[in-house]
Amino acid sequence: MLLIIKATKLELIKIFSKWRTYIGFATVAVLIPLIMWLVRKYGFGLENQALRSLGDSFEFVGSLANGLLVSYYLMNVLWVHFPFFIVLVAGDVMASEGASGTYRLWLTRPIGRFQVITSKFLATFGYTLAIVLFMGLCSIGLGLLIVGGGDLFVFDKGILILSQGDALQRFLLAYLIAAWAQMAVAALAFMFSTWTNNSVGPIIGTYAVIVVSMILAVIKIPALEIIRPYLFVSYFDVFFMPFSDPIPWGEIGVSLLKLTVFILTFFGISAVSFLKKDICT
Amino acid sequence: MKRSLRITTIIILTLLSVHNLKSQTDPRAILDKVQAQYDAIEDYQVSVHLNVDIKNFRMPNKTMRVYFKKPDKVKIKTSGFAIVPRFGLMPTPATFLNDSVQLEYVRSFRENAIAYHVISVQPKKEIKTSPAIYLRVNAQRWTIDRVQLEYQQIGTTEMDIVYQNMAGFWLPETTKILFDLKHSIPPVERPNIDRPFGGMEQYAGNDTQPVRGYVTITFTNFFINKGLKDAVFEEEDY
Repeated sequence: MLLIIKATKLELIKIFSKWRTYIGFATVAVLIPLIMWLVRKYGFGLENQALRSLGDSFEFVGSLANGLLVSYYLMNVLWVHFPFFIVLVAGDVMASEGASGTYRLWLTRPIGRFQVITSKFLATFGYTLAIVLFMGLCSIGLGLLIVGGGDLFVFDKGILILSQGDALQRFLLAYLIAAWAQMAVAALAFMFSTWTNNSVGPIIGTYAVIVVSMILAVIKIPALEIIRPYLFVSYFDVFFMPFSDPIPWGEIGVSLLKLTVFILTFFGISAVSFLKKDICT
Repeated sequence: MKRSLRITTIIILTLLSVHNLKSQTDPRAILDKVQAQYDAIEDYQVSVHLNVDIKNFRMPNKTMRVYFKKPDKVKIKTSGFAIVPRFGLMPTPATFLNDSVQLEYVRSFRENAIAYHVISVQPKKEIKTSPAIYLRVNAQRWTIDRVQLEYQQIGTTEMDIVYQNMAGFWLPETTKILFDLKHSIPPVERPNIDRPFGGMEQYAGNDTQPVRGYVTITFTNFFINKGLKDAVFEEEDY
């Protein structure tokens, strides 16, 4: 166990010593302040039609456009766009070792193959958690700082307005859940990465799987309903669940459990594949 | 001589009673009596606690601070966002009267030994967004105890106001507003795999069900005629 922890630390150092690791962080650090500044300068068009039926009998006081609302909308990048930063690193973790031939050196050390792959997997999880939470921190922190705070307007069986304090707690939960959902992406890229010595393949392969899965999940054809439960992207919406009232803990638990099954399956396949991998030729 | 004096007295008394009767059913005179007690209010501030219970619209309970200064300066301060009933905050006659409405005396009745007048406030021209308003005036303390608003397009709203006497003024303590709306807010779902970006698009143009809802407003911490500064009304909303 101690060996795995030590190896995981080394893997994290390796991950964070590569420039590609910082592409995601840099993009988030540049893009989010820019978006927040633009919202502050030009405003944020809200779905006024949602409140239309109340418009003649009510007056609206205060503004719904605030940093939390922008942060909430920014969470939509977690569907398709944000996974790119995950696969960029997770797809490289194993493949780069194969490409540089360092497996042989690694495995001369008193550490087993399973421990090696587990530590690499845990390090990938560390990166995934770090970048998702970094996005959450930037999004909410800069949103509050640049655009300002206030109540959060969301859709949930109609209109739901959450107080700022309540919304912040839900954001924390949502980003932790999002990290787990993104871990499914990381695990898939990691699995592809164990099969090859070139990281381009796992990156493109994982992204192709995400896009195709999203298409299959979104198209409303009854025949496709059969395969939906077997697509991990079908459970991606779990990170929006904390913004329901009451929070559907049961639904969240089921979705997280299913994502865990996908993560463990991808890891299991990776482990079996790595244990059988010929590293001598 | 005696006879002519008697006739004159009868005529004067008749005219007086007719005048009195007319003033009792003159809507403008009734509303003037109600307005008269608020004319002495130069400014006020009050904490307003709002509880909303409308289907498909959930909002945390809100406390706002409302500021008013004559003639028509109003400022509502709240953290975040709130919806406020258009006519629910201070139902003085001035709230309902303008050049585009005409008044009509509807009827009078007694309830719990209190006499009430019912006055209708109708828009002169038929404007779809202007409601027909019915005011129930308490003839004992000259307050508007009930307001009914009938909108052609959106439905009806009924406000029941309970008053408290503050420094000689009858001011609202609680207002319970019943909304009977023809169209509810559509039950838009949170973003999910079917509609990753959420939104109202799927409900555009769809007819929604009628809905009833309540808003309860509680008024506390009135400060009347304390000399509110104009700067209060110039502050930016937050």
